[in-house]
Amino acid sequence: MLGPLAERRAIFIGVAVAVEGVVSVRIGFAPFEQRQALLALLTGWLVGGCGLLGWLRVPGSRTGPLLIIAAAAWFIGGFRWVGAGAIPTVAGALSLLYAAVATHAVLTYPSGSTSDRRLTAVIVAGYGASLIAPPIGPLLIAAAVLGGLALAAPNGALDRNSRPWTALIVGPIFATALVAGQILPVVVPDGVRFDVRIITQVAFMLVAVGLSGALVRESGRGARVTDLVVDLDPSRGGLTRALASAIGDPTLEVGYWLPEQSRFVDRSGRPVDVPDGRDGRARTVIEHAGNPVAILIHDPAVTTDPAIRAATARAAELAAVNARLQSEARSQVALVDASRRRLMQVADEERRSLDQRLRQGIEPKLDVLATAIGVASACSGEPDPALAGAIEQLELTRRDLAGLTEDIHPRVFFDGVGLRGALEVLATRSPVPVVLAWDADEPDELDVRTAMYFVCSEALANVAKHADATLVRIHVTGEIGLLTLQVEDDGRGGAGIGDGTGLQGVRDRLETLGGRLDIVSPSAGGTRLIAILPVEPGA
Amino acid sequence: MRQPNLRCIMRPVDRTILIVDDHAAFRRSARALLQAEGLDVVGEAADGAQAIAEVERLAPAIVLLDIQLPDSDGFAIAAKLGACADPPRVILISSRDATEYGDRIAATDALGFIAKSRLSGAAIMALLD
Repeated sequence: MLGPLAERRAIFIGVAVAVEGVVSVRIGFAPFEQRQALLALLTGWLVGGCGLLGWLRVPGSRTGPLLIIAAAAWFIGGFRWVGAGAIPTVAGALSLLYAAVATHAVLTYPSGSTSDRRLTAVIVAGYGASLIAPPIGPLLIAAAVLGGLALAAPNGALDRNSRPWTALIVGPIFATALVAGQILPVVVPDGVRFDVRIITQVAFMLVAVGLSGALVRESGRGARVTDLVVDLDPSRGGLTRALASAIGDPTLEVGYWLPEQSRFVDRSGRPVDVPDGRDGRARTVIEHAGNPVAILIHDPAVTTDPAIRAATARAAELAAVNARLQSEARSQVALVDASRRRLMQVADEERRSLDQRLRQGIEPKLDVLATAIGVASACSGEPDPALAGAIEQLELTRRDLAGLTEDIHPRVFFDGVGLRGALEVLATRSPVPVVLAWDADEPDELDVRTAMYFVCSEALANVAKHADATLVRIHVTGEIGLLTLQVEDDGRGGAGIGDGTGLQGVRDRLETLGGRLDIVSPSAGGTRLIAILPVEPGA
Repeated sequence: MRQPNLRCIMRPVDRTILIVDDHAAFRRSARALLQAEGLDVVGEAADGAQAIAEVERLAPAIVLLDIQLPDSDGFAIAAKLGACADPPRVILISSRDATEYGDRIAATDALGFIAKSRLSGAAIMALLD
């Protein structure tokens, strides 16, 4: 909206034109031409009023002021009859100026200005034609209207949702009226009382009402764009779709500014190509506190309306901030996931280190001790109960140590056993018979092997402790990017992950790696544990 | 009835043995144990590559082969030794139980497995028989 001072200035100009109209009509029409005078006055007032409305509601557009100028020019014709001198001469020469101004407004709608040189040339030609006496002058102006629209149409004006559509309706009507105004007096038979000026007047009013009405309607769209903010959901592309619909540009693209990368990206994170203006696309950078937050890439026709642009900017700014917050939240989640994974890897590394110390430090000493006792026993020549007891205790110690190291760090980590070999070992140890089926490639990632090993180890331990099963089937399958492990028993069922089975820790480990653990264990019997992990393609 | 080949029957059993283990203390201890029980420890090796070289050089009848070696594992070395022209009899040893290795021991050409804590000349001879 205009500021108070500018608003008063616009109203003053409008009132001045209205007064000009009264003076013009009083001078230009004889007392017996009251009906024609009234019609001329109403025509000018209507055009001027429409211009004033457009100017007040859409101050960024020059269409409103152009219509006021057209109204002022409309009234100039009346001053032809002011008497002798320069005024009637000039007024007579400018009597068609209103048509040129109206042409200007039509061809530059909705901005009221153009940077297209060819269109500018057409508009200037229209002004030039207005100085030529009828019938050539009006006919040339009509040609300018149609030619200018033909030039403007390829810029998206033929899109039903685009605002220049209005110009495509009123422009040809106005041109037709100008032509009709010159032809009808010739073709209408004598004796038919018909004032052909009415055709031009009606068309002139139609231009003003059409352009002003469309302009005001579009300013309302600006408000609706702002209202749309609450519905915007960048995660579903809602911003682009909503803005495209609101401003009537289905080709609209929205990019979000990434400061750390110093570029605009779409909601998928792909870089947005910023047009250089030579490919018929325009760009509008949305700023907040002097910093870019988003960019709109659109049809050049929608850039010219500051009201819509401002409303769009507000919507885009809010949505961009929202999208940025969501992006940052996702980034935080990713950081937490990465942190969880690092913690798990560090813990595994510590377990591996501890296991190495046990394996490299204590186990060999026990082996040496066992053989040393064996030497002593061999040298004694007689069976020695004390030495036999020592060997037995040593064996128990060794087994306890083996169990401890296995719990700390499974053998899947070393010896080139791999996951398959490790599962075979687990199957061998299980007190419940196990049938192992392997239909996968050996996974390369240590994390994956470890996690799957723990799933199987924990599942078999639970079967042994709780299931009262007679058979366990382990099936490992691989497909592109996924490794699936199923452990199924024929036990009593009714098991759950969170009921002290130790599976919760296994599930945490899988989820840290982007996988999942599910359990199907009906109370009627049987339990099936399904672990799925993403793996490197080709693994 | 054909007479038995007495010369063959009377030939002493070849008890030459090579100990392959990466821990020197265990090799010394095992050497003492086996020698105390009448076995002829002809050499020692600390890793897989050395084991193959020593087998070619010493041609032992028996190789006591640790499964966990720094440069390879006992299964791979056992397979290589099995491919020799005159392969020695390989006995795998480990600090851990045979169950730790699933079916891998059975899948090799090794004569058998002995846990290190149960190593003795008698256990070796039992496998040879």
